[in-house]
Amino acid sequence: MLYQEFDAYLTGDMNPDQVKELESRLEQDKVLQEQFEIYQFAVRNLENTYDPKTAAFKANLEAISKAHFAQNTQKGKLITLNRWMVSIAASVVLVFGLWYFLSDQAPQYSDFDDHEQAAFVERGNAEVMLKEAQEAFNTKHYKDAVAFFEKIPTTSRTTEVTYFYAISLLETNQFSDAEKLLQSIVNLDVMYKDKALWYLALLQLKQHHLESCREYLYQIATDSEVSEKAQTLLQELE
Amino acid sequence: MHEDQKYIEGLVTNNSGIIKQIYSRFVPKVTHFIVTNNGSTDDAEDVVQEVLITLYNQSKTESFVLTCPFDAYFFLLCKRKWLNVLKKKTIDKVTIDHENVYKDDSIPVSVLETDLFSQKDALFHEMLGKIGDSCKELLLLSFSLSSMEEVAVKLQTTYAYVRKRKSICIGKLTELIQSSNLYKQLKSK
Repeated sequence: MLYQEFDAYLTGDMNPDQVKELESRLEQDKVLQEQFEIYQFAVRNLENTYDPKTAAFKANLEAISKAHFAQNTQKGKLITLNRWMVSIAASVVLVFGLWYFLSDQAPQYSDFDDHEQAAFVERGNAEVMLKEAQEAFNTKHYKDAVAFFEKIPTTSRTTEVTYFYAISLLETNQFSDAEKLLQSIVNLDVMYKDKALWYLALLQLKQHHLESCREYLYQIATDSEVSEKAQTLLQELE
Repeated sequence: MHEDQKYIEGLVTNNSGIIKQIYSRFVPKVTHFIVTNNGSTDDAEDVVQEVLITLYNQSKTESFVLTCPFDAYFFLLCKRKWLNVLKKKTIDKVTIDHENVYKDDSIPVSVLETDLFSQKDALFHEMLGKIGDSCKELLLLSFSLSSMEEVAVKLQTTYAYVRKRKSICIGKLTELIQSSNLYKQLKSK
């Protein structure tokens, strides 16, 4: 009888007087209230368990999961093959002269600091500091670039401008300021998020914080334009 | 509400784009953790799927609101799940300091909420398995067909009978849950 009451209440099959009476009893009787809450919890879970949308979600999740892990297993096999070839090459070098093999095995920031060209100045845009900053950046005069970027009015500081400003700060070892700008891009701009994550990883690499570097690399989407570079660096860090 | 609530909403609405983003952005870190802690990529695949199904179930039944970044939240949930798996296998060689995972003071509230839901969810499914076949069949029909009249037709009986049976079966489930040891433990949390 009690459970039939709970069922009628939850399916809206009670008249207002009956609703009021049950709610009053629930308020006064804590044991009854607890039983009702568990009954209600069971009903919600049953609704979810047997909802066709839940089955559809699980099927979709399974498919996406399989595709993701299949793709990454393939990459893993390629990485293993590349490493094997590198090992063979290294062995050949060792055989012909061990004293040639002196360089530090750990990856270096300088191996990855090949920045893209900046092109954020639009034709007809008269903002002088933007042009100066772009020119200085593209000719690798990063200290000058930072000085010009600092003078760009806030209204002209698009995400793209901020991105190149951050790289300039990284090049001049102003790590804290570079990190703040890159983090703001990650948080606010979906288009530049993965590129900013890449530079956050390089920022850690430059300071030889290899574990932190790895943490950022893992966050980079596998379908982004920097994912190949990220995978290369991850291989070298392992 | 955190801006990363979009990942929770994406799961609940079965948005393939968001689910793929979760896999590409957050799963590699989990995979690396599991593979470097006595696990395989198959283990990682299972753990990730179970956690995402838990998040889906929690949001569908409790209207869950995320209050921290999804990255840390998801990783911690997967980490805790994997360490629980290892604990059950009683493997000793866990290379990370797993004791820290069980200290609550540094763990985001959202992680603790989901952890608690996950235990309640497991309890529900365990007891659902114990209510007997006729109740299971009746509840399956009651919650997947569009009306109890249809259920009555399907079972070749009366509407009044199936309504009564449905409430009795859910009542049985309620009693099984309430009398379990796990329920008593969860109640004290």
